[in-house]
Amino acid sequence: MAKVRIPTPLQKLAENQAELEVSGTSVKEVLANLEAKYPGFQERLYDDKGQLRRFINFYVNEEDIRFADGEATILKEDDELSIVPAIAGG
Amino acid sequence: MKLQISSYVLDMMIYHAEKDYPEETCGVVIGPKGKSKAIGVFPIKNIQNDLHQKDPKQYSRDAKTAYFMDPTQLRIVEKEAAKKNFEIKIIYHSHPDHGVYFSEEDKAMACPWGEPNDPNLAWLVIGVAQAKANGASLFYWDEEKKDFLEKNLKQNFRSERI
Ligand SMILES: [Zn+2]
Repeated sequence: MAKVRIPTPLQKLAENQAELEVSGTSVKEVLANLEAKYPGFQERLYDDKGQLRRFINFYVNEEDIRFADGEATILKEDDELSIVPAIAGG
Repeated sequence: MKLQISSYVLDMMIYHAEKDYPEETCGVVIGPKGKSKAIGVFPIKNIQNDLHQKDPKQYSRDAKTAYFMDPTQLRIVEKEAAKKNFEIKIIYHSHPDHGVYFSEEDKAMACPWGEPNDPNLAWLVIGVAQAKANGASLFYWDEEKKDFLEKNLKQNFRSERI
């Protein structure tokens, strides 16, 4: 069970909740379970090649998963997965 | 909400924009929650070159034409600011040799799912040519027009910069 923090524009997909408890032991599993419960996240978080979108930061606690094991990053009981748009541009 | 930006804050951002030329600089300015003052400048590392090297397909541009704020640094600044009841007011970055405007890429990244993640944020772009800043504008989200509106900061530029 991980705590998932949802960014404001996506909260409407999850009955306006900012924080959810979702089961799973890796980022990939948690996101799949999130999609199963609240459809619509998958297409907003993954691109058409099935990769996590480059403009989103996924933090497990305080660490960005780009610099850990990406989708395979392990989530322990009570870990927090935060989905936050990256700050970037051209 | 109209933001107050002191010339000191603007000069700090300009200093970093010129120092990082010909690459894009980036950072945030924080201010007290609920107030329209932006007072603390925090440069954030632009990791676009690292991302581009690691994965040139997904991150096709390098730091000369793009910025990507170091997520870890950004997170720390945000969390520490929140502890003091501060929040991010301005996101700034520079355009080395490509003018002051809010580009399509800037808009797309500011509106990750078709709308701004935080409509109250102001975006500041500094133009730099030959290592000298030559203009700056703030861009605010306009809920009615569903677009970003520009406010030029030319009047705040020291005369020798214009
Ligand atoms: Zn830009």
